[in-house]
Amino acid sequence: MAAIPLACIAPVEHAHNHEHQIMNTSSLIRCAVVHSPAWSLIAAVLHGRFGRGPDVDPEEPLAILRAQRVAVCSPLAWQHGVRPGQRRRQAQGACPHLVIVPDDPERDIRWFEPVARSIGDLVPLVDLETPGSILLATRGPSRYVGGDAALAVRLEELAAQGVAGIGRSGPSSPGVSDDVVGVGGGFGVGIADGRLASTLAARASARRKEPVIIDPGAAATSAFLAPHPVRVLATVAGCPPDLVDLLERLGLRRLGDVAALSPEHLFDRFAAVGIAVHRLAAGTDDAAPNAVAPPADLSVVQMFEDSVVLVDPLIFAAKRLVDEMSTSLSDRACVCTRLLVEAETDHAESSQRVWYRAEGMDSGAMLDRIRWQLDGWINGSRPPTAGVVFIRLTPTQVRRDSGVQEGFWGGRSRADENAARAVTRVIGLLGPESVTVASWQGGRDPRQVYRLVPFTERESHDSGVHDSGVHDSGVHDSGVRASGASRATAPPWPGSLPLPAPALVLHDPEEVSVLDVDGGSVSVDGRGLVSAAPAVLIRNGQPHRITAWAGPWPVDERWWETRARRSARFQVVIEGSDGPRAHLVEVTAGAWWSTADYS
Amino acid sequence: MPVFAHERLLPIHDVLIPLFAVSNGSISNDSPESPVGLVRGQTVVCAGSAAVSCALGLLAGVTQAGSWAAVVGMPSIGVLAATSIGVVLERTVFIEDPDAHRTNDARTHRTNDDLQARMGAVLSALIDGIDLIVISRTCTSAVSPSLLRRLQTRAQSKGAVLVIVGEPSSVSADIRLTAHTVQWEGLGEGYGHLRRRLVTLEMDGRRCPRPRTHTVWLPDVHGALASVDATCVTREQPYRPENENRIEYEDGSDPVGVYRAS
Repeated sequence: MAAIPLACIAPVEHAHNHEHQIMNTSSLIRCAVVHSPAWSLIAAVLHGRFGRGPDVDPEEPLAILRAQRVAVCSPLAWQHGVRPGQRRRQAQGACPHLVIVPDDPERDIRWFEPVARSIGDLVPLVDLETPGSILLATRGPSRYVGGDAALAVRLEELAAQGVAGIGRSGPSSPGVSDDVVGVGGGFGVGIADGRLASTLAARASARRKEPVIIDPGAAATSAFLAPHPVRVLATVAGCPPDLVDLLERLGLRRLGDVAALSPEHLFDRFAAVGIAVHRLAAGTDDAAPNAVAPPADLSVVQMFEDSVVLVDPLIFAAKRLVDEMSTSLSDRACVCTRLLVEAETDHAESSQRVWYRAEGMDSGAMLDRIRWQLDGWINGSRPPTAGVVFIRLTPTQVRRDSGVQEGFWGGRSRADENAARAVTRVIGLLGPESVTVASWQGGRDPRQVYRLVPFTERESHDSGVHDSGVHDSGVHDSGVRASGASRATAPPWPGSLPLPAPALVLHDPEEVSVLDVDGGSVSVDGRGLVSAAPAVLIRNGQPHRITAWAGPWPVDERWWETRARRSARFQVVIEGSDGPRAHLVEVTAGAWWSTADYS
Repeated sequence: MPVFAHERLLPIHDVLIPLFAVSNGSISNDSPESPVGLVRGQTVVCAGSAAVSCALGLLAGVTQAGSWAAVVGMPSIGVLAATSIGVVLERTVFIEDPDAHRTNDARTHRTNDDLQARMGAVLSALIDGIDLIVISRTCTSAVSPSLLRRLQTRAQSKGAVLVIVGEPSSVSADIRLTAHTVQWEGLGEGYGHLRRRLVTLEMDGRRCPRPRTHTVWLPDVHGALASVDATCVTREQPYRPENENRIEYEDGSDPVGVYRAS
């Protein structure tokens, strides 16, 4: 073994910088959300003016009812005292000349397509959650435009341009005036860490009429989230409404109240979802609860030999794809939370949209979104010039479906339920750090190959959210969860100990002595040569004869850092009181340690 | 309500079936197809120089069949060895020794009663929901004999199996598995590396009608649990890479022989 060139050891400040970077890296991805609080009204006005819908006058107070209650109202109606949540009669009592606009999600999304495309000119792939709301990762665009503030302004412009471009057939013809956008209260742009915080920031921005940018970092995010009511967990983050009800009844009305509790207590009471709620409220994580890596083979494709021009036959074909995909998802007890829909025409024009729904999409919801996208594209203001030849659906994020019944031959069994309950109880008794599961991380030392991570963090460690190979906006960067790499797919570690592995790996090595036949201590020199054949191992004061040995196998770790460590390993078989025993011993700086026991 | 034999059993690793086939003679020893496994509710003690690997072998069979297992108070267990033997890590939880916190906890001076209560609570919670619980000897030696008996009774009523690794003084074991290392192969005088170990498993105990022994490779060259006849050693066997584990490498045909040459 060659001597280590000293010049290769990196300077100390380099290591410091590295640690500093790690400290600063937040696990959340910085997102921007463009949100229009009353997009449905804008769409209704546009539909009346440029589509074939009933004429809607933006000068009148407008409202849309869902389930017999006001869901959306225009600023003018608000001035007259109309509020979301009112019944029809209360709203008409407050404002007798209120115009009730029919609710139509397809109309909303069709007229949103130009806005999505306008923003798509800047950022290629964006996440659509509901009509009126777009989410994108800011890392690239923000650097391109020159900072978060500039990006917010640019996004607002692009959204307004998208609306203004509707109905403008040529450069000279008049576009849409500001009053149309004003009917929906304009666009709000919010930039913050994570999906929840950025959505809330966009909503605040629409109210304040200026972009809201929250500083990066967990402290700023949690300070921003704290005053928001707990209800947003259900309306924005897709938590179960029952849970949010219960939190409110327990007196936890603000996200700050939830974040102030210790995660152990929440886990004790609510199990895994309690931890998820705490992370959301504290602004530290907003991965979908129970997110799992999507199986690789779930994308479904339909090719058409003759290109299809009309929407309805496409939807009919898509229905078969959706059924196929939802069957294979439910076989795996999964539900899709993020779906990539791609369509392409004969002339290589394509439409790609990522649809996100925190509570998961069933086949009806998936089909709705496909219809919205295709309808908005084909019947929109800039339709493709040829028929569609190709549709592909890819679930890019799935989570475990909690609503499945007990499996007889697999899936989540009663044993799993019972075990989860028992483990939860033990976590309550001993604390989350004391109950661990093994997670593969790789390494040469048998101590490093697997790492024990707390059971409560198991979801995010061994089955992190992966983007299944699709080129993606990076909203869920899989690099955040590197430990999701499975043992099967990982490259080998040359120089690791050959199998079989030791059954006991001592994390606190035990000091031993190794002597040669004459009773002198055995040593290994800098060139990796043994001074004499080891003959006796003294452990706990007891001498044991060494019957077989091999080594030294030099280990030279981190020689480029100040934490450099050199040692040499030996395997020895000793004569024990109850037969031969094998040990892994290591010599470092003249001292011998027993690091593993092949018990 | 009748209880079927297979409901009273936890599955075991295929290689261990010949060992357990006789001990369960009390259930039915008439038909050759009678199910074989660990009887739920029993306490198994693994002892001898290969005790840990032996316990991992039991763990492998149970977790592969879809049951959950817990390992209590064994922070140094080799997870890599466990996976090579066949333990399914998705259904295995590792729990710190409940006693370990005693020294760290400066707030209260825990008495022995506290410790007993804590141990009892943790172990009985596990017994309620988990099928196989592996406990280290250091952990059981902290538990009073009366509490241990109560836990054994609880395991009997809930159908969990307790596996105690190491020789405890105060446990009445239903089954005692003593794993004697016969020999380690692959390591010479300064060359080679550990390849496989021949282990004789000796089974006796209260619920074992007649003591019985069985010899296995634990681990074999791939780190797994293998039966000896499947990999029987003959000196005449020519070297072929695909049956590398069959060769007798004293003749110098082993891949690790390069160490000797250098």
